Amino acid sequence: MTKKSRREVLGAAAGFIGGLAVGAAAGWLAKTPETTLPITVTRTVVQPTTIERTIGLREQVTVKVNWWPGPESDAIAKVLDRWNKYMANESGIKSELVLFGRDAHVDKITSILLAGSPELDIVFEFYLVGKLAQYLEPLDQYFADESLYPYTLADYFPAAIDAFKVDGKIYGVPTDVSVHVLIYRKDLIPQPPKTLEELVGLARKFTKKYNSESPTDYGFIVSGKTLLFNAMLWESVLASAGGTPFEPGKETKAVEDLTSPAAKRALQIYADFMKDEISPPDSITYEYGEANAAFQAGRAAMYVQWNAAIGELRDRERSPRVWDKVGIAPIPGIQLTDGTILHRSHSHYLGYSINRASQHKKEAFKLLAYLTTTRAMLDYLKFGGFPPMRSVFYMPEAQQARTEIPELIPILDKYAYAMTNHPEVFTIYDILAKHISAAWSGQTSVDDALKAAQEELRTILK
Amino acid sequence: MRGSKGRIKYFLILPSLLPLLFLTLYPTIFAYYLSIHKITIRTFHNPEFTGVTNFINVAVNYQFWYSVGFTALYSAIVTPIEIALGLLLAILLNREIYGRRIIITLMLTPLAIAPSLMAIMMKLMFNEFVGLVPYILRYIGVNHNFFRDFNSSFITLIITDILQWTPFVFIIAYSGLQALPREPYEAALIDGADSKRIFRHITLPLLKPLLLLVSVLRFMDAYKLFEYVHIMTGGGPGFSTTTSTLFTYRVGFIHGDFGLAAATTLFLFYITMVSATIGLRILNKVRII
Repeated sequence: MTKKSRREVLGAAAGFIGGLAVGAAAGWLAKTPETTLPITVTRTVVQPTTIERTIGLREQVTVKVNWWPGPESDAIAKVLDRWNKYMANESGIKSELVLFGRDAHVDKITSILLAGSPELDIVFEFYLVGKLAQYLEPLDQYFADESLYPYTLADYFPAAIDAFKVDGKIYGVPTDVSVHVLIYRKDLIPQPPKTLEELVGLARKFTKKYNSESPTDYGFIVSGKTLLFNAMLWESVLASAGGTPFEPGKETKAVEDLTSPAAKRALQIYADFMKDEISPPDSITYEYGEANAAFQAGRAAMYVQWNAAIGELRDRERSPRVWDKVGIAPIPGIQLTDGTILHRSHSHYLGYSINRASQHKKEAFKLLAYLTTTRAMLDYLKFGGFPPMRSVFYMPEAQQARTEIPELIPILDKYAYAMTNHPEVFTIYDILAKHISAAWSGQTSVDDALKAAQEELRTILK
Repeated sequence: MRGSKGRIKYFLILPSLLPLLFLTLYPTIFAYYLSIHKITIRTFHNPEFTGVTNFINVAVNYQFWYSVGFTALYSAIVTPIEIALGLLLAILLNREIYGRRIIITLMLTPLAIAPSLMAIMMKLMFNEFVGLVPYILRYIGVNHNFFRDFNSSFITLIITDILQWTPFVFIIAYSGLQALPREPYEAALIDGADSKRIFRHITLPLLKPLLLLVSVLRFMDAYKLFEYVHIMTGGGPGFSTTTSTLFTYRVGFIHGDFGLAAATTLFLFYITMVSATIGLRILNKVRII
């Protein structure tokens, strides 16, 4: 071996060993010890002596909490930080937030549950409790045990808890409510439309093609992309038109009523909006973001949207043109024989459950129990979530943080219906979206679209 | 000694071969397993054996065949356009131009963008309210909506594909042009041939094997179209722009029918295998492989 090559070999060896040493040191420094923590309490009493008492050693368990990434996970992160700061030592339960990408979330948690992996203790299963129930821990016996659950679930809107029941058993807890509302320009429309006829009339009035003096280009925005969430949006109009939406236990009836006059009317309204260019022509590819953008740009007067949009629309920085002009109203409907107007809004609830394969179910439930308290959910709301809890909604702090709450309470209380938690919920809405968007775009007639949707859905539900 | 030396080479490639086999064979066998069962999220641990039912369901599904036809049509349109444009750009840049390297680098930029990001960018670019393209078109008096119906959506998807993948064809053709021998050109010039005749009788025949290869590659790649339709149109309006991969994705991940999705994938595999076999035979004829 030459002098040069010996030097090279020694240099490489030194680099390798040095790298190992640095890596080992970094690993040792990063490691967080998880076991016994002695807790010392120091109390100063009246006498000038200090009593020191050491509370017994407690093993700490880490509960891995999965959540829906986005504003919801931003909110829960702060709630869990508070738990870790003030409650972890005393309870011996530490929480760790685990997030997957928004697009891949459902696929990822499904894989984990199917594999029977204990990787997650608490899973944010969205609203797929019907599909995933066999992989989730039923919670009834936990809620019934007062030593584990000294609180109450009565604070939640009843539909919210029902949404997480399968065969009468509770499998999860709701954390966020999504409901449909009519969003409109309150500066242009002093009284929001109450009936479908008024909706159609106003939509035409605020379309430049039919009214050259209209301040907006389009009267209504159809979220027209072939997307199951857009089918849910249309379903609110269907229900308000007197049709049968997909509610728990009524799935078969909803399919059979798809060819009813009410369903045809609801779909025809949307098809006419597209054909007559009352909705932007490109709205055939619109989903949540594009519909908001069109309204924020001041180019449209009304649309049906998820309540989650309200915060963004009423934000001065994000919606400089319309932030102070956003009105919320129930979905316009038909007039009933008693003179009242039928308003119905699709609502669904996001929530979490305990993984049946978890090795820390009791600890996970203790954390879950805390998350059902008013304090935790008030924090969740203030940081960006939207829990379906009456006590939270009526708090002045909550109404100050989220100004839309007073407007949403009556919609949630009086008009909201819970979406089905059928195991094939995604399939149902995907099939519906496919066929009704064909009708909106004029590819097929309203009758043919609804008939085709009905035939395909019958095979799914048989 | 020679025998053991001969055997040792198989042992040496085993560490890379075994993982490769595991990563390809195992999913393939599992796909066949899924395809002969009724298997969903709920029945994942106790699936029902259904034999060829899933394959029959795919074979009689109108939407599946529509998606196969649509994808084939899409691939058949974008591929020749990209080949022609790529070749044209390669010829134009195959000369001494000031700043040629910078131009080529900029032209290759779309290849560095992930297809899903490209789809989001194009959806914004063509948005009638916030998009740059409609704004410019309106400025010159043209009012066009890029997603209003099937035809517009289809053209927009094609434009997106061309913008992103023409640089791929360009760089292959450019490399081919750079590697061509000089002697035939010198001889042609001496004989008095003009540029058109040189291109037709020298450049094109010499580049033909390379262009055929890149055509097959582009066609097969275009056939896997997913990101653009998923993000820009959702497969709509209706299901008019649903490609075969989007169809399979829907069946597997949205409807949760793993068995049917596996059967669909295998069906597509056989269709692709037939197309690839035909392509390989053509390539063989022109002596590429």
